[in-house]
Amino acid sequence: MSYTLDFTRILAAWPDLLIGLGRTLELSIVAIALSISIGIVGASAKIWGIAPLRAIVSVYVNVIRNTPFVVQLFFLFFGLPSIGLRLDANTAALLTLSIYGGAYMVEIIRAGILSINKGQIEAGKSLGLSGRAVIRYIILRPALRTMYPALVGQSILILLTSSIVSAISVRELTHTAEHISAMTYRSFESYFVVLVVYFILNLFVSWLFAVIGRRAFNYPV
Amino acid sequence: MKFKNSVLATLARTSVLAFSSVFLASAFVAPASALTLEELQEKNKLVVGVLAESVPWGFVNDQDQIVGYDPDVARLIAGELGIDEVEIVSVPVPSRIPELLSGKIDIAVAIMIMLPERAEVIQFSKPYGAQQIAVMGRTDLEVNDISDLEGLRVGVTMGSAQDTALTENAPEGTEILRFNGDAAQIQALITGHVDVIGGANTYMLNIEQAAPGRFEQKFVISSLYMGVGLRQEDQELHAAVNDAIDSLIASGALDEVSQRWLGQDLPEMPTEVEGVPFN
Repeated sequence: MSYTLDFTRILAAWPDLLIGLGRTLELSIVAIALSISIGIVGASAKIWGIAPLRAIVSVYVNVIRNTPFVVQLFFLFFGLPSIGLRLDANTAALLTLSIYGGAYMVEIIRAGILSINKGQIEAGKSLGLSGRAVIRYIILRPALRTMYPALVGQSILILLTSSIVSAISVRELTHTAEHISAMTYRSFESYFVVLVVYFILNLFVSWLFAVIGRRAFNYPV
Repeated sequence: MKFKNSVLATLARTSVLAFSSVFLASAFVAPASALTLEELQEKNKLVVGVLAESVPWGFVNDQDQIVGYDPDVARLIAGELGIDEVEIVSVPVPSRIPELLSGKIDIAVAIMIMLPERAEVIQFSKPYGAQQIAVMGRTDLEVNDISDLEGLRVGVTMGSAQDTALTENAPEGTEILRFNGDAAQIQALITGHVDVIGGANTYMLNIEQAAPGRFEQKFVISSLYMGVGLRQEDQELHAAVNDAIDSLIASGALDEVSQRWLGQDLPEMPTEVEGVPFN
């Protein structure tokens, strides 16, 4: 082994890395929020919706969960323009990430809701709570606590998956690393630095979710 | 405007390799006496070395023949020299020069970029063609030089020579989008994600096939010229080949070849190439 590590040129590109990190964070946070929204709507439709609605959600979840993310991304970015719908790279990335994450969120949230004991719901009703109050206090709040760990795991997965959108020229963290690596021929150093950044980022995100979890779910079951 | 040309650097490195193999080859090859035009005309056969793995310059077609830009040029030159039969021989990149020096081929028409290191061992003819790195884009855009790129979305292959060149020289306000490979970059152009792309002029072939008439070459970032490779002692043949190239350019025959394989006219050929004497 005669390779000499040299991080100077990679670290000198820190403004670019910072911009990339910013884009990764922005993309991930919005995509996670949209995924959870899709998840809530989808899960509700699947549990309480009419048959055709349930079928649509099932097809969506199955198609997305059984196809690779990168192909979905290329389909949206390179494929849709052929039928006249052209999304710029950032929009295509955000949409694909949200649609992808949403499919998993539907199942996570559905499982959370179904974990609520029927007797508990009936108890709520017999206490004279309105339908809306039953959904909010008897179903969603306890369900949220049950599904929270899975929700956090999926969110971190969305953040990690966002690295793939570098392939359609979105200037996020991985794209920046690829560019620095291509320019400096310092692949080991470039990707090592970015691995460290992703790791720290996700430690931070996990910690943040844990703090939110402790504060938000200190109500009794 | 000065471009860092890493393509050139790569080629130079490759040629150093070729250069060293020259010595290896010449070690056990007896120096041949000069090949005269008369001899060739008497044999009525010209043996030409070409590359057979470089579309569209020289490649094997589905009838197992080596066809392309270079074989066509070779036949035209032979015609000008008054030789009827042309034997096209496939030569691998590293042994182009050794095979020429050892006399296995008479001349090499093998996408040989005219580089000074090569000119020390062989004699280059006048340039007969060029490999260009160019900016290509939608026909409706008015783009004549790099300053016109302002406000446009420019696709490049990440880390390529054109990435460096355009990133360093494009005006403020140019949006450069980097893709992982030629295919993605060309797709981005065709699907309208970028307005122009920077790349080899041979991209236009694929682009034209996918979207006829919608895109065109806008301007050239850098050019590398190709010459016919000859042995240094074959001075008479060299002069004859130069004359042949002159008349082929004048008659438009080389334009036709360029149109056939690259879909564009032959660019203006330079009267001199730095470090490579050819007259």
